[in-house]
Amino acid sequence: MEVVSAIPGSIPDFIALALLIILPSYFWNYAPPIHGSDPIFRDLWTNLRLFVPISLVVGIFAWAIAGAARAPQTEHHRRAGALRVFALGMLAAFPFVLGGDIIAERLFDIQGLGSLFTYSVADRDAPTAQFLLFAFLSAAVLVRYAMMYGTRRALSPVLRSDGQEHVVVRARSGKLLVTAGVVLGVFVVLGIAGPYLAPHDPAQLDRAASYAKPSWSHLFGANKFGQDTLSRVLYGFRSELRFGAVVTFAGFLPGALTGAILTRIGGGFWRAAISLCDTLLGLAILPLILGLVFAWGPGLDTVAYALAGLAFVAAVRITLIETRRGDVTDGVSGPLRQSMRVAGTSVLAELTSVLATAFVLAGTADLLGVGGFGLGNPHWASDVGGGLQVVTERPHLVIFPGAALLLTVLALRSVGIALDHRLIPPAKNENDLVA
Amino acid sequence: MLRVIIFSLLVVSTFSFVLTRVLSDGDASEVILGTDATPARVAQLNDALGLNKPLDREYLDWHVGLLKGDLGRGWYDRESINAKVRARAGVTGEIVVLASVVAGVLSVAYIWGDSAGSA
Repeated sequence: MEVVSAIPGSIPDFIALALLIILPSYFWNYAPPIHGSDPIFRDLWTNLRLFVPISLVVGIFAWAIAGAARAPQTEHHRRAGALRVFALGMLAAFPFVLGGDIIAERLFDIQGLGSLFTYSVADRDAPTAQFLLFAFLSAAVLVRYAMMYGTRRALSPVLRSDGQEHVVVRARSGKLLVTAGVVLGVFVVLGIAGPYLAPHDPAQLDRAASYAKPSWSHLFGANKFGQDTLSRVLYGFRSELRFGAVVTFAGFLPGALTGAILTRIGGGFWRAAISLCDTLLGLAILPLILGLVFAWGPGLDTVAYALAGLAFVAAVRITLIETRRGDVTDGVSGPLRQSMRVAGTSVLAELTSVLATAFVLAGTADLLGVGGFGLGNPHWASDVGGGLQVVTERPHLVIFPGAALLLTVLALRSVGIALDHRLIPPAKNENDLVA
Repeated sequence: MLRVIIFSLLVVSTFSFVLTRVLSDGDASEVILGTDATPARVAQLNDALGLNKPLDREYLDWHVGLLKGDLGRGWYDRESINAKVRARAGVTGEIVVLASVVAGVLSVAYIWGDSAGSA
């Protein structure tokens, strides 16, 4: 079930929202609120008919991304009441809801704060961008604190006592781990060998092959500019691999090292560091990327550094928690090797989750026009974005790069879920965790 | 808790100021007027936008404006940011609230469904 729930979180919601324009309007004559700004009280029914589908897509995707990123915490709250779970779900999803709102407003040209923000960044209107960046980030911070207060800081899981159970290794999810691992292995091999397998130069323009359907000369068809889709999909593996390497080596690994050093400093500082990490991870990532784009300009480097920063904080947090978990369990039952194994695997699970989120966010940033990928630099999300314009006539332009993106991110999320199942047993009760 | 929230908001406001005013590339007047603008025109625009002030003064003014609820004016259309925010906040609020409720409901359904499945 966790893998199924991770599917929406494995697709940039820009793509789902774009399909919300195209497919229902094509098949059912549904028109989303393009350029809409009608307040809810003027005509309730019309308003809801227009905005509910968009809110549904934004909510589902935000929940999926947040759920996949925070699966272990959800695990710890299975015994909580419905209201508390509802509040925790809203809290975890809120930063991604803000990001989804910005995307939806931009895509549908809705006259809201999200579209104002993106246009002010594009126009370099500093006072407007400055306030809206503050508004989006502080909304995320305020909601996080309100929910933490309301749920007795339930989202800061810190081990209080011993717990022999925490070193138990459960042997389920083996098949999932192997299957997802094989998919990721193929992903890495294609990342290395893709350029040698590609039948065409992915940047080569060929007007005669414009919008070519799948055939022997172009197995996956060709885009508007006649570029071979199969070659672009194969080169895309390398683009994603490079991007993942930046996020891992410039963000996650230094973060894990920093966390391992910080955990030795002391209890009070350790708790403060966890809280700071929680707050930073609660910031809305997409507004943050837009703020960085305002400062440094659009481009792949800006997005990569922003996501490497996210990976750094996530790595510090998980290392702080897992190293302390190792300390706690070590004295009770476990040999050092056991607790190190638990900590290492949990950190690896976090890395897969961070990489999956980074791939989705990079795709989203690209579709918003700030990612810096382009015709000469094949990237699945931007190819899907190009294909969306003609999806009803040329679905293959969306299906093939979209499937590559979905499979890769889903495999990453599945590895994370499988590792969590194996090495993070559920707490016996909520007393195992304190804030 | 209140002190932590105020401190966090101060950090966020400072961060927003640094990204959009300190680290941003290029001279604002150049961005608006283009590179061919005369020095006199640039000086006039800097004066109009309040860009002649030292950075610490700008930082202070930004926070005073926030506290007073005076967000200033956009650089291009010279429209009040307050008015623009007021006109647009309802639609954004509606999408954010509805989507958050969807996420909350899904969380409950997921936990219940998973518990039922594993029982």
